[in-house]
Amino acid sequence: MLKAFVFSGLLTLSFFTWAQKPAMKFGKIDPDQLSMKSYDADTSAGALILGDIGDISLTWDDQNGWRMQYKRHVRVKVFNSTGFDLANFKIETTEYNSLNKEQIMKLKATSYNLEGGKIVETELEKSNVFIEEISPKERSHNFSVPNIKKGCVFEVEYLLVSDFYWILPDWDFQYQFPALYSELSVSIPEYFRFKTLMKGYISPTTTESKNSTRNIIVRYSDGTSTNLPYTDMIQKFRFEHVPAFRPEPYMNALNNYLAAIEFEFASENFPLRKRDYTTSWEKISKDLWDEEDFGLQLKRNCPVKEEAELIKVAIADPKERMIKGYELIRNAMVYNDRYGIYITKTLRKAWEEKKGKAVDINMLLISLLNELGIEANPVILSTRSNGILHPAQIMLNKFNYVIAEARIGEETFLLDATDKKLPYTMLPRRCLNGKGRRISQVESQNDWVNLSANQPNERMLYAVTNVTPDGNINGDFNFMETKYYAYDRAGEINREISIDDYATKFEAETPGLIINEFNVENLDERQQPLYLKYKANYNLSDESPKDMIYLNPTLGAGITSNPFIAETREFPVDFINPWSFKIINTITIPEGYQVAELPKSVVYSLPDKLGSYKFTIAANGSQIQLMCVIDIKASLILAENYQQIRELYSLIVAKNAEMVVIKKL
Amino acid sequence: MKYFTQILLTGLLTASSSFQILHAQILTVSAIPENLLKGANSVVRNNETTFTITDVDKLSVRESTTLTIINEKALYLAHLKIFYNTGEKVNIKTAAIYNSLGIKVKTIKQSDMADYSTAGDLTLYSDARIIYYKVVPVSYPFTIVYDYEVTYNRLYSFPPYSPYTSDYQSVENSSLKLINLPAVPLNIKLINMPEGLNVFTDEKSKSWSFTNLLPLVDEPYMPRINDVAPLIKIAPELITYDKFKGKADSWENYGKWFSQLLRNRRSLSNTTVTNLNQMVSEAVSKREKVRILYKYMQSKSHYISISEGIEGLQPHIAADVDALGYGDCKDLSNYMVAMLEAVGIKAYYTKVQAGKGEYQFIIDQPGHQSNHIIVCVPMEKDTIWLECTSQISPFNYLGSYTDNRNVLIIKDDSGELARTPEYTINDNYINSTFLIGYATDGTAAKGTITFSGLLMDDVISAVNSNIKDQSDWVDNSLEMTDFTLINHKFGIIEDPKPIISLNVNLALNSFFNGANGRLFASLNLNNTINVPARVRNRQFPVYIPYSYQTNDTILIDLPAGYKHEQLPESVVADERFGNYTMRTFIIGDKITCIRSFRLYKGTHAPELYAAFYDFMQKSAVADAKQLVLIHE
Repeated sequence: MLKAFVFSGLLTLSFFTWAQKPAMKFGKIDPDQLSMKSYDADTSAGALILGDIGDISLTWDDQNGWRMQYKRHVRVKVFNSTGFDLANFKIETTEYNSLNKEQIMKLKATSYNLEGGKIVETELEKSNVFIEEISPKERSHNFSVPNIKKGCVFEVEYLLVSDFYWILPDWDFQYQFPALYSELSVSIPEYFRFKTLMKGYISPTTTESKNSTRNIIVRYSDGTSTNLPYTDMIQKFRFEHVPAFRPEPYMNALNNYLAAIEFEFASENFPLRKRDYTTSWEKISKDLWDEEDFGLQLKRNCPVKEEAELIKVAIADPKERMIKGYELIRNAMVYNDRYGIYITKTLRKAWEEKKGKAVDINMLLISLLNELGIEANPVILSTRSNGILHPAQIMLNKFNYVIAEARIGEETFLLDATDKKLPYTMLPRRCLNGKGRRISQVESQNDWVNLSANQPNERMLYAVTNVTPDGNINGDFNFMETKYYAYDRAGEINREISIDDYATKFEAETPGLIINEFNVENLDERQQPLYLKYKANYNLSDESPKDMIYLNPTLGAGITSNPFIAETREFPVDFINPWSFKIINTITIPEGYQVAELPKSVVYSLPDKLGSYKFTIAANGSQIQLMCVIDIKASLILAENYQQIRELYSLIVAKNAEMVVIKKL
Repeated sequence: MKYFTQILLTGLLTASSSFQILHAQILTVSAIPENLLKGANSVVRNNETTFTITDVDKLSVRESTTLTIINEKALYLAHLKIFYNTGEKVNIKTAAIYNSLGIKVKTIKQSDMADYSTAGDLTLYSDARIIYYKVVPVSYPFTIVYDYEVTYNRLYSFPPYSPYTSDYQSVENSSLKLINLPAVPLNIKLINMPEGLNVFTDEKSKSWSFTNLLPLVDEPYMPRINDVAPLIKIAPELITYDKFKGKADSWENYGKWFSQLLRNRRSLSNTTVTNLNQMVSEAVSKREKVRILYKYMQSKSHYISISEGIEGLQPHIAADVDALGYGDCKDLSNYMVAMLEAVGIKAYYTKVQAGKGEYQFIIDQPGHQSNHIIVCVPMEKDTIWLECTSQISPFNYLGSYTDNRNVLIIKDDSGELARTPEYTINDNYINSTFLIGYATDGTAAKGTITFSGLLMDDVISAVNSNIKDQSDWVDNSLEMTDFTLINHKFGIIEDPKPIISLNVNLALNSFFNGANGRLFASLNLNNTINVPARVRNRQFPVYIPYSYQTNDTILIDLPAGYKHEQLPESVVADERFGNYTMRTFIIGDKITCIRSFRLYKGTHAPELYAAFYDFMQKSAVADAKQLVLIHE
């Protein structure tokens, strides 16, 4: 959120009215909606948003100056337990001091249940609103609407009053549930300008109107005053019968795709005071470096100075020094799972407490690297859950995370010391979200930084197998994974009580697989691939000898179902990284048998070298050699290529099901 | 998790003392030893439960507990639930929530808690009340601290104590202290005690303490957690409950004491008695009379609560239940006994420990061990058992919640142990027959499935639901993949043994799969064998709760132009666990496949788990065998 930027009270406003004609009145519930059993337009929906009304207005009063008022009233019908989560709310507020704060002024939440033909109302009690301190300046007001049951209707209304009148809340028009309507009115005095940004794949209707003109009394310092006519410009965005947004496989955070509107403060155009607030990256950078909770902390003495001295004495090579420094911070600091771009207290305090937000930890790292004589700068970014950055928007409050960038000669390294299981070469996956922005004191260095990892995540099953006359398979297996594949699996293994327990879980994923010896290599060494090495049988048949043996050469390890069920898709397929999956299987057939039939070798390719699937199989005497490779070269497949990727998957599924036929001689 | 309700409800009823020393340092999640965190969804940091008998009719239960909830799977353990009766004292000394750093985020005040009658807004009077507080988590992990004491004006039963209140829970420290000031004779049973249990005894008190217990993991086919977790069960041999006093040193004496509670509770109005007699006047046998009155009871009354313990011990007067048309298990069972009595049939109010998987009484600890009531009607040759809380249960059907276990029949002036019937392999079955044919738009299947015995449990509610819910049930329950339900019809045969039948018409979307002139088809359409995980280092015995069988026949028309290349055939036999057979024949242009799977009830040593796995795995492999057809 934007930091204190105080508007001097030049103007007073004689009166204001808070213009709205509510279509829903709190407490007046339509009995038909209460007895409704399902929503005809979407019978599988677990809930229906009956109405969601937002009102944003900028108002003036003598005491507080300009303020932003945001009122929301939402009413929901719950059909089944999948809709229960809608009743959980988190409303965040920021408070720097008594003049610069956000406050929740009114909060009402009530559920309505039909019990024995009567409407039972349950109100939220004040004591059941939990205030969570996210940081000394940020709070989250958390509550659940009480008595939520299947069939109930509930509604929530609150008013948020903010001194940060230059920040308007975002509004979502679309949800994971269908909505009868969603409506936002924005009432802004004509002297303010905000830019709007529409997101999503469907758009609301917009109507514009004006309030009747009012008078503002402008007082000057010499005691004189004049009247200034003033009109509210009202924009109303309305969206009816909004379809539910259903998550699809391989997508970035949901909020990137929902229909929504965002606002950016552009200018003030009072007759005697005009100011353009359209900012620039240069200005943002400069402001951040002058900011107490950001750049000024780096200009002070490094809290890790003593340790830095020791490293300097022990290690001369800059890259080695960087790695050592990175590991020092990573191993010492506990990450509290909090986001944000401002330092919690001070770097010294964070180092003393040995814990903090990502920005605390990574700014400490920058401070240490600088102390080690390595050029390092903060890179601000928006995490995957926070949303994709819009390239045209220059808005600091879209960022929520800070990492470090070190430069050694021509080489740069993006570093995040929040995860003890990651090496200096990998960022946590939450950071892999397009581009971040380098905040450097050198103006020319302020630029976008590509965050996505270009190295592919690799997965490979290398198998040497024997088919026995009864149609079973045994062999040696070597299953390798790199990067985030390895990181994820190592996490799963570490969560189990023992490696044996993991072996049990791993073999349960494949019908018939019986693992006899199971070894894990490089479990906590993420610079290296993770290896699962095992001897195993595939128990596919009983023990009697067979005349015909049918076997799947991919051992069922490849892709066996198509995740892309939807016929069309409006947003990209986001794999996060390029990736590949290779199965190499050398099969020896039993003596006295011969290969009667092999699947055909094929190559399928996506356009523009986005990726390919190669299935190569050949028999040579008693040996069959299979190599089957999916290779996706792009981390993002655009919606225009959706049909191709969907088709590729269904071809792969069909191919991976084809059998080798072996016949007794 | 179901298994835990028992321990959980009562575990929370408990209490203790030395709390003052707790500060943030101890409450931090990082203070939990690494080995206790592995595999744990919650960690009991410290629990001190104290039972204090201050007089022959006064018991205080204090529970002082600090519990860390690691993830949302254990959230349900964090909610505060205190059961008590009007007139009993509840003293809540501490209730607070701490974050993972050990910083207090909320003090729960008594005004934040709900306190209401468990009888809800029904007019049947009840003393039973509950204090309830639902925790809304801000983030995980978090720690809750509760310290409270309930003083009961009775000495009737003790909550069972276990250091665990859930599976996937580890225990840093937990202890039970028993103070017996009036020296009431007690029957104490220590069950499944771990090694290294600390016991401390002095003149007036006894205590048991547990430290560093690793989480109980959930293993497939394991005994109920209650049968393997450490448990301390205490029973008084002298009972005082309101004005009712008595002995519980034998089942006879306990039954004698209990029979006082049922005296004068069975009166019905003259009109009702006349009506009932009229209803059965045409019935040809005693059995038929019982059936008619049971059906009548099911049709006119409904059930409103679940537990005997919560609602007190005494049923409401039968005439009141008759007038209101509802009640809990006690009320409806007593009402049923009264109705039968009105037509001259002797029946008994019967106490049982209900729950899936043979909850058994501890036979050498007479006293209150039940949580449910059923009705026993002795007949000349056999016995009829009636479950009175279900409006849909077939006549004389108990199901897996009350089958095959000890029950206490309350006679007019005594009690008598008896056993409910066991459902054997001949009772427990799902059988199916499917005919596969072809239509222009694909493969069609017509089938009949019959359900019997305990394998009927899940179907009963589907039979009694509306057509839409029925077809949803069929869609979710048929185990074949990729089918479209065209229509279905349920049927039910009630006597002598209930059987449910289901006829279905289906379109099979991918019955045959294949490429290059070959077609593959799996022949088992209805009864999948779920292979349990191949657990290494098995801790618990292998427990198969009941025997059952599934038998399937499938008849397929050979598709035009194809002949068979391979017919699936298998036999898997293991005399300890069960057997599996599949045979396929060709008669004319029809393929017939007959498949049968049997699993036998039993408990086997943990070492036999590997053999059990092998049996299940091989049976599943046999089931997965495919029919292979080749184009001529």
